[in-house]
Amino acid sequence: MDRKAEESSYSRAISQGTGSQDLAKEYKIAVIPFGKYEITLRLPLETESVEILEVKINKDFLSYEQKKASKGFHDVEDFYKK
Amino acid sequence: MFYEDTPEQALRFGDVLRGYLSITPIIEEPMLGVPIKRCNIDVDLPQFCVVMDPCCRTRNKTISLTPLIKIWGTFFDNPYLEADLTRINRMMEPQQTLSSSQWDSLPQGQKTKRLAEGRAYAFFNLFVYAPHDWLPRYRASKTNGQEVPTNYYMIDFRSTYKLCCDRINSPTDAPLESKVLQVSRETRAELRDKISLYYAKVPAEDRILED
Repeated sequence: MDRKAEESSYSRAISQGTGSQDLAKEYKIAVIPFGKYEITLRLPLETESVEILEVKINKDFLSYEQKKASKGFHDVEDFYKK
Repeated sequence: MFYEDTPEQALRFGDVLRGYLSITPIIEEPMLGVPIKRCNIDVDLPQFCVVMDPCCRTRNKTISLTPLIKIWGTFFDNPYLEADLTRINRMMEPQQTLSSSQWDSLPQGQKTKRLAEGRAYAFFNLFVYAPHDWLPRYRASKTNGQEVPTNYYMIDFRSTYKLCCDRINSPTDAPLESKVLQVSRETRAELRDKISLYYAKVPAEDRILED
């Protein structure tokens, strides 16, 4: 089996399952960032309405500059050197 | 999961390799005049080394590496670290950086200062590699002399060096037979986070100027 066929088979297995008793999923779950919130949506593959499953605060709202400024470090090497 | 079960056919950031030299130039003082001062070049063949190039930057017959070295046995003095030495790769609470007896013996001013730092990295330049069957076991000594058998290893960001190899043209067009282990995506993210902050850390004196 060439690599493309392998990858295609792998993604099919991930999205649909492999066993004959396994039912294919009829929806997808998507997490959408919205401002300081993250909204989890259930997206049906057929023509149904979109369902909001969860709204939570995105805790990763600090900018990189804010993150690095807020992080110090613990200087403990001297306690571990023999 | 620290390592990938099925490594990719490519050299990636954090991969463990074997078969590469380690080179350290040693000088007595800067070579600013004539005659040229005496110097040495220390050449070593470490059992393992780790790729320090960001993924996709391994190319043009050049690679950045750092030796995989033994951990300090004194890490095992601290029960929090002893339970899982890869905790060194992540931020921790101030009290977790030392054993309880060491913490208790700190002067109150030191404790307050450390508590004010909050959750942060310790051992800023070190990143620990979890045990794996392919990494040989050795004995590490605690402060009290007790020997602990282990196959934890670590890298020191300060020991990174450049090596040229004719067969390294890209991450996939490289001597892949030298690859021993590949870290998982999560571990690589931890390594990237820690090494980024290692270089991005603003020293206290510069922080005052920026404010």
